Amino acid sequence: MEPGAGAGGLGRGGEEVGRPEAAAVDWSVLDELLVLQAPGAPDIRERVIALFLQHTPAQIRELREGLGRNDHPVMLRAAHTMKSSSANVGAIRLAELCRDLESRLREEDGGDVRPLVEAIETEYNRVERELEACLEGVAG
Amino acid sequence: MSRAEEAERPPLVLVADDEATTRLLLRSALEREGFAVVEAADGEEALSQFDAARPDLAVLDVVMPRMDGFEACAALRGRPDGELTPILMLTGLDDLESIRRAYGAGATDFATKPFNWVVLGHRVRYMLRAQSTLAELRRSQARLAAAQRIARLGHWEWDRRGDRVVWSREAGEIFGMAPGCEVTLDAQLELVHAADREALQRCRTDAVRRQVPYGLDVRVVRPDGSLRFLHEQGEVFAGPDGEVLGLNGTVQDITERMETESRIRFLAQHDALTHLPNRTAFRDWVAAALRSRRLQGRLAVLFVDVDHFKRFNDALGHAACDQLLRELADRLRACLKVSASGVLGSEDDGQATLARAGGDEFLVAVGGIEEASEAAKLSQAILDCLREPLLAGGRELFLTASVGISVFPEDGADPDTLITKAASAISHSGEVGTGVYRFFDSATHATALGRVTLEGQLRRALDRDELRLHYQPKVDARSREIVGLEALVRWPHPERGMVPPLEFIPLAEESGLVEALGDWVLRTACGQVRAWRDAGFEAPAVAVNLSAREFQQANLVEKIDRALREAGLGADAIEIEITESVLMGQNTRVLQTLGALKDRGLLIAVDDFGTGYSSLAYLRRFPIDCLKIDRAFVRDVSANPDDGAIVGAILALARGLKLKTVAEGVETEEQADFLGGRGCDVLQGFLFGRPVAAADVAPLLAARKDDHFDATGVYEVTAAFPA
Repeated sequence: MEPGAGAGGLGRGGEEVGRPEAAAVDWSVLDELLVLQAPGAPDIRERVIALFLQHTPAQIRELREGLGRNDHPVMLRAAHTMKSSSANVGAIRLAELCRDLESRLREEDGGDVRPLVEAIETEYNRVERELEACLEGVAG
Repeated sequence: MSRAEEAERPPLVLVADDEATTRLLLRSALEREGFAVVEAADGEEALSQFDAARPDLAVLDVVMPRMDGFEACAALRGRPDGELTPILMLTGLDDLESIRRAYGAGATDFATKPFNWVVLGHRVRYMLRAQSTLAELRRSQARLAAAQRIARLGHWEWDRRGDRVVWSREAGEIFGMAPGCEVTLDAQLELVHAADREALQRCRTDAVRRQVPYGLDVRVVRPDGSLRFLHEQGEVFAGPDGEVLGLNGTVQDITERMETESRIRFLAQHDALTHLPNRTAFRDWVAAALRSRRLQGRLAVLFVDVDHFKRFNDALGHAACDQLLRELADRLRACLKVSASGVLGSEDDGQATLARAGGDEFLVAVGGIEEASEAAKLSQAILDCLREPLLAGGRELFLTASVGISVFPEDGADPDTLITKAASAISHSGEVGTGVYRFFDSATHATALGRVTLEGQLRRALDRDELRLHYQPKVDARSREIVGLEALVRWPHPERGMVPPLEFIPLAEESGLVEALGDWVLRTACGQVRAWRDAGFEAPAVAVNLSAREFQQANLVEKIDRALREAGLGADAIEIEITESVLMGQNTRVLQTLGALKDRGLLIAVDDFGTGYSSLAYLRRFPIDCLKIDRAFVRDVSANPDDGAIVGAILALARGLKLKTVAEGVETEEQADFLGGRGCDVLQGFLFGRPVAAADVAPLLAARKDDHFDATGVYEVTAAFPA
């Protein structure tokens, strides 16, 4: 996987405004991880991405289920975890959404968090498509 | 794993985070820095990994399921080796609450998300270095503490400004203080032995004042009462401007060393087998005794040699022979303890010493003796104490010894001469024989032997009632009638005839016989008066002489009471004659005794008046009734009118004090007339009769009485009433 490989070659955080098709992943974040690459070892970026794609669906499920039960602690833990992992793979927008959900959940009167959860789901799907596409591109 | 192996392996880091990508990236960052990594996904797993893998550092995420980072951190800190393990907590950037809580849980450091992975790796390296420095420091402290403990050495530091002292644990133990107690320097001084406090205080004060280091041995009394010797060293430490800030000191327990030194000293001066002083110590003792101003009279050195010791040596074998010598040493020690005080007449056994000169030879020194015969008696006591067999090697062994004696100042004035001469006195045992004592100087030997023999004979004479009381009449100066009798002891010796009292009375005093002799005199005199009165005579009072020694007895008055009671007599039966020296001595007791005697109605006369320490003051203090003018003054009366002046003065003095007078040694009519003319009351002397046996007194009494009397019916009292 080449550095900078990513849809549209946009390396920095996607610009949302006016660009609905902005990149979900900031590939520069992933590229910075190359400094941790051990020679001869599998590509660290691929490994991080693989882990992310492997574990995050479960977090989404937790969010969904937690929302259904109105279980804030469960949702808080899922949001917190996803915040870290999405930041690690450069999914900045997703990370921010998780952070917002976290603070909302901590507030006494955070109001209705359903829209945020749905936004997170949607954003994750975008991130997932982008990351998978990148990986396939490599595989192919 | 050995220390070397431990040093070789890469540091191991535990990474605990529930989020997989973070774990991966942390592992990569750490492995990049050359660390080995173990992972955990929650707090509980972190703990079990910690226990299993023993990491050198732990990285803990704050939010984890099952057990969060704070709990895990606190739990790790609770582990025995978790106290010092560096722990890095991963917190959110603005999460101040977590940062605070991490600190409270005992975290070493924190890092906030998002991480710079490379920087994080470096950070861990820095943390491990700080830790190893700390670990090295702790090891160094432990080594120092161990060294101190092994050397029994502690250190302390005194801060002058606050007057506070910090004691190392070892120092505290040395002083016997409770651990961790805060003791000021003054309070610590209380633990030091009272006699050493001042010196130590002075050292410390001087050190501060003159900025001079000090070293001092002191004694300390531990809480359990044991005494320890300590060596304290101290020096000042000063601030940059030279002002003294305090003292740094060490204290070391040197008791073992002192004990060893003292043991060495003991061995140097004592015989290893018997623990008696050795020859060197003996010489030193004698030299000191000779120099000492306390030494009065003579000092004798006794050389005690076991007869035919070689025979025992050959027959017994080494171990039994040693045992024999030890038994002998003990026997001699015991004998000396008893005999020396008997010979010296005092409890002070500091006047005698026993030593082993080597082999079968022992040395005894005894000071403060007056006559050589005392050394002879001591030697005989030593020879006698060997009569009982000694036990060694399972056998009863009979030993005899020979004792050679030398005497200071006659035989020499230094220890070596005295020892040599004492040894040579018996060196020709062929001539001398075994089981005897011998003086170096043959004349001394003869004299001493003679005295000892005579003393034994006197003792026997007393026991067998061979002594006699003779009586000399005392007459009234005008009427010449017998008004009293003086009782005098006589000793008819089988070989020598009458032994002069001047010879055997001092002997009696020296050998402690004077008490028994005094008893005998009292009872005999009382018994005799009883016999005379029973026979119908008006027996006058019999005067008995009491010595200064008898006045020191606590039961003197009792004795006199009993003697009178047993003879059925009143106080008019006897009179007491004492010398001036009695009155010069211990005044209170003498005064009390005389008072008691006077209360009973006994008359008291001062014998040989004018020849002793005449103090006119005592004439009024003591309850005296009569002065006996010494014969020396009486003798001069007829020859020279001036000498008669003294007698005249005494008579006038006595008259003025209303005391009776008796003149002794009156031999001529001239003297009798002179004395009678000057007012002397009673005369005694050859002119009126020599001292005679009781049987010869009766006729005198009869004649005086004007009775028709048959003198043959009177018997003489020789045996005392049963005591």
